[in-house]
Amino acid sequence: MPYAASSSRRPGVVSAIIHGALSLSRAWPALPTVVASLALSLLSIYLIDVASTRDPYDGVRPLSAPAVRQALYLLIAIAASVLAIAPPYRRLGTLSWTLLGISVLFLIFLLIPGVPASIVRPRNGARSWIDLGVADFQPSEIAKIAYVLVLAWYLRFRRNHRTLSGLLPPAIITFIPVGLILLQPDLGTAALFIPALFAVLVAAGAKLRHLFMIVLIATLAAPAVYPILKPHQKQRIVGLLLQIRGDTSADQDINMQSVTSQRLVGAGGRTGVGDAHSRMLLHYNALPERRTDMIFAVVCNRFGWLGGLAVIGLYGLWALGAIATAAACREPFGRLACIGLLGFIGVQVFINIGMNIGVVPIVGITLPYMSFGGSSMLTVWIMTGLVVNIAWRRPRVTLRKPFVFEDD
Amino acid sequence: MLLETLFPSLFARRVLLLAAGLSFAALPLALQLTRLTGPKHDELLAQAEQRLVRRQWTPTVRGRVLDRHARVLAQDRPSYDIVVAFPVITGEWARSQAGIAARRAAGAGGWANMSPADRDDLTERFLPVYQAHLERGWDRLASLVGVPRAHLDAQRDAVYAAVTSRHAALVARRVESAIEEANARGQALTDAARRAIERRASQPIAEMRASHTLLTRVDDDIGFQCAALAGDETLPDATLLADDSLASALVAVPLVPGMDVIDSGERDYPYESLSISVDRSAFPSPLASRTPLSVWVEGVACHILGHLRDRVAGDWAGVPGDASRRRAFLDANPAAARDAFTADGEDRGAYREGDRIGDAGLEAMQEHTLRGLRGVKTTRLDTRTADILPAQPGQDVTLTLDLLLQARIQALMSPELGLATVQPWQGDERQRPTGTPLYGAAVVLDVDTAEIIAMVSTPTYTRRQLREDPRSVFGDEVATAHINRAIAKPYPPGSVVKAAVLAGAVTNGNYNPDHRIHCGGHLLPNRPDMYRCLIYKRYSTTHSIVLGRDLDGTDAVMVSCNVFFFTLGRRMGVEGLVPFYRSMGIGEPFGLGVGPEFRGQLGARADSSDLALPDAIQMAIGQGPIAWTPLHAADVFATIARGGVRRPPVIIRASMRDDPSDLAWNSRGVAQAMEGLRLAVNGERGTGRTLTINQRQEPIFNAPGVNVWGKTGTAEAPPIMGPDPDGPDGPLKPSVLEEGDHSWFVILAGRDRPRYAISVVIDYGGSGGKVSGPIANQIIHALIAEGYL
Repeated sequence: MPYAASSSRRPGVVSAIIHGALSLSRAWPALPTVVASLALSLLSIYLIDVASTRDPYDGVRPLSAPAVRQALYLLIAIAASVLAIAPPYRRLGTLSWTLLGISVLFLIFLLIPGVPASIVRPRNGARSWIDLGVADFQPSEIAKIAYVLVLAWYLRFRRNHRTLSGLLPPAIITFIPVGLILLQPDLGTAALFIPALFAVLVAAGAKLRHLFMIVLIATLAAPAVYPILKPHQKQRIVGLLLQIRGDTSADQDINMQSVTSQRLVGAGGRTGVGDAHSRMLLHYNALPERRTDMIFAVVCNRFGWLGGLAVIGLYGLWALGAIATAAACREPFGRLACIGLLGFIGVQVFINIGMNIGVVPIVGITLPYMSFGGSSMLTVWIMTGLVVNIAWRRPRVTLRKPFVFEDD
Repeated sequence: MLLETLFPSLFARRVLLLAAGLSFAALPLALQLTRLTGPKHDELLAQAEQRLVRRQWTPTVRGRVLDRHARVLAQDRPSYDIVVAFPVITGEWARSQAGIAARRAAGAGGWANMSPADRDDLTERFLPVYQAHLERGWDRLASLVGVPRAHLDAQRDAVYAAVTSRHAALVARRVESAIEEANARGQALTDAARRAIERRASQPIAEMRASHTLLTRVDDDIGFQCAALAGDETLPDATLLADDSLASALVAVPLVPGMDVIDSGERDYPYESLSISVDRSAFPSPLASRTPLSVWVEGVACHILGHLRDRVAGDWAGVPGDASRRRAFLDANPAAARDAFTADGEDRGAYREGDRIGDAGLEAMQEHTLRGLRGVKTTRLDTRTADILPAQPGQDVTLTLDLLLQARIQALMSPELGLATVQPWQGDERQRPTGTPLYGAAVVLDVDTAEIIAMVSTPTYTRRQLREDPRSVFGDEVATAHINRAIAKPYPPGSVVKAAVLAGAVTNGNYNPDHRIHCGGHLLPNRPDMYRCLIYKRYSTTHSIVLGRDLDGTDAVMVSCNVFFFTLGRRMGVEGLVPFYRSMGIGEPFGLGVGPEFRGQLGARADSSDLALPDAIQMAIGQGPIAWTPLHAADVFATIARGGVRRPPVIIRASMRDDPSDLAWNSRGVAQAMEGLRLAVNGERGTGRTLTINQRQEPIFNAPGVNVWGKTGTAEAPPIMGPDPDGPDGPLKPSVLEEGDHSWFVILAGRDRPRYAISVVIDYGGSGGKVSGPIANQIIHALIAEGYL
């Protein structure tokens, strides 16, 4: 910790904070990520309020309860992100296996049959949540972060992932949490791990032809998975195919959510409908999950095409910060961790927005920083904190040229 | 490679690749977003906006039907049905309420800690309270509506039986198919599996949660009181509780829970049945009496007014042909068409669940005039503003009919008065017993205006009969109560056409009124067995012998000489006779708009191209391939009375149009015909002058001061055959249900000149003069009684 050494004369708390804050300017590459996280989060409070309106709206009411709660979640999440900044990130790397171990234990706990419903209450048939009394906690969210750290830690000085057999250990690491999450069952969350793994492998220099081969095989094998899907999962795929064909017969049932969402997005037009109008349209069109999974439809209804593109742009900004941090970090663990986090956020954003506008089947995946909910908010802000942590504590000198392989 | 020179680090290149991948993934999102908010924006916004609007239909009132004196023959009367939720009907409600009260008494925590047995026990203690409460509610409802309690309970039992039997049938079917399915999958059917199947199959059906009608057709006042009762809440009687401490768990519940009052607006026909006092002093002597007789007539004008069908269900597809009638109505009534559609193009007159629809007669034919347009209440949910388009009541339909005259004539034709029954003086050739009822039809037409003042067909039917015993209406092949004989049943015209044929022959130049024609009893010199006169056939004499002279037109009409008219028919030929008949409207529908019509027939083909001279000879005396209806007969007589000017008859005021067509008949021909008609009922040799009763002669027409011109007809008619017991090829012949001649009497009556054309036909009645004559005479008396003559 070089900055700690330089301020060793009088270890006053105030000066330490001032010094720390000054040295935080070194985290500049992460600035776009922080700005984007904050902008999206603040926007979500307003949009959740819009999506929570019930009666005719006269425009003079205080924030609705869910919006207030989202604001509270944001404060807690920012506090948590500060905690994620505090320890040097490489120490987190050493702890990563422990972290993953703990989250795996939580995931296993979810699956224990005898656990009373007051602790693990199935939602929509999935055992994904632990009731902590004050709030619900979703262990798979923590597992995402632990998994990224483990993967980055494991791959940081390795070269055997450039062989096909060397891809096996990362695959096994991935399979442990993914398998447990699939058992809940939460297909959506489990599916996010694979693109994140690929992003990290690509960045770590795995041979592209190996990865392509795997993707190709997986694509060809995908239809074989269809028969083992749950009926509601099949329905969503069938629903999307019907929509593509222009068949409106299922618009009142299996496609209801998707069609309603697209209707509200389209109703937004170029710049969106007014505040009161949007509230009423959302209420009476009764879009399910409009505060959580379908919040992007609220964005587009209220702010239109422009608002939708702006939000996509903000995620682009987030990605920019993560990439800049990875580039500025001259140390492999930090680099890979940034890319891993970006992988999770990027895929989640793509799937969520895609299902809001009808290009992806409806799956239960939240929109990072925007969907209502404490667990999700907490996770993504810890991710923001980690990016800042990496940007701040990135080493000044390159320890060893990472990911340079003679055979490349 | 350029990329490697620019980015020497593999990591940098890989990150670049990932960034490119992300941007590439964002592309379809941006495109779809642009598509939805751009080209599809208007459509999607409109769809989304639609959810902010709620539309409620408000019912309209069906138009009334009035007679010529503005008597209301049909109108909507407010009426209500009382419906009650199924669990209340079965009493299950009491148990569920007892359970709720028990839980309230135990408190949430206490209830959770109780054993199932304790719970049941506590529930049982509340049960009598709620059962007594229900009993009280039923008593109250029964007394309010004014039905015995037993009736209400019987209704409840009937609903319960119907629903449970439907449920049982469905459960059996579900179990069967589930077992079949399990077998098809190859699953072993263990006891546990079977129990699971049965449990799943015994799921309640929708009817077990729905409300059911217990009392129907409750009037406005009682309906209102029931609606108030439905809102009444009261505390159940706590005295039935063993333990007073439990009383605090009782809360107010509706007196009759789950009750609702539903609008079931009834169509009311105030004159459907009424009592008519008939003066019998002018009846034929055996039936005459000084004391009037009160006759209860039912189903008055039912054939004309028709009826409504039951309220239609939601999945109902529509009356066949109604869509085109609706279009035609809207095309013909631009004013109605302007209002008929809502802002978004929905027809306010279109059928919806619960609508009543005309099913026969005028109610069906004038459906679109009567139906009206429902109102629309459009509520903007976001602003709570409502836009109300009021319902437009249906238009009234006014008839030219005089309801009391109609009822009076129906009374005259009812068998209890004896006129329309077999009587000894009629000399019934088939020797049916005296008093056998005879069926037929009568039409009264105003000569000047061509308005139909009365149009009776017997037997008639009542709407209750139709609802409760449709076989009695449709089942009898002889009585055919459902057919309006006056306009819808084909009859051979018989001799009543002769006066018109005379006018036609003179007009066509086929007969010179100054010439006389010899009646030799039969037309063809060498064939005395065909084309004969009736008196030649019966008494082997001829009209020339009887009259002592050859016949002119007047004589021929008076004595109904067949040979004379065969001669005219031969002279006119098909080319002369058929166009002449057509000019009088035979073969053309009247289009009255009160039900199906028989248009009249000339030959088997519509263009009469199958007819030859022998047909023309027969058709000149109203036999052969010619058929018409009593209305045609009255119409033709009115045309003769107008001197050859035809006015199409009307029964709906609004369809009256003043477009008489002058057929340009020869005035001397008309004069001879009229004189013949006068002498036929007044002249010494007239066929329709007297009845011979007990060797004494009585005049058929006896209304003082009323002149009558008329013609009898005894028309040969095809028999009505019963079903063939062994098919058409078997040796057994079908039985004959009815046979003989139809009895016609068509007259013109008036004090100074012919005012009314009256046609009477009695199916298989035999002699025209003897059977239909006295009825025609009584119709004149009825016209006098109602102030027409």
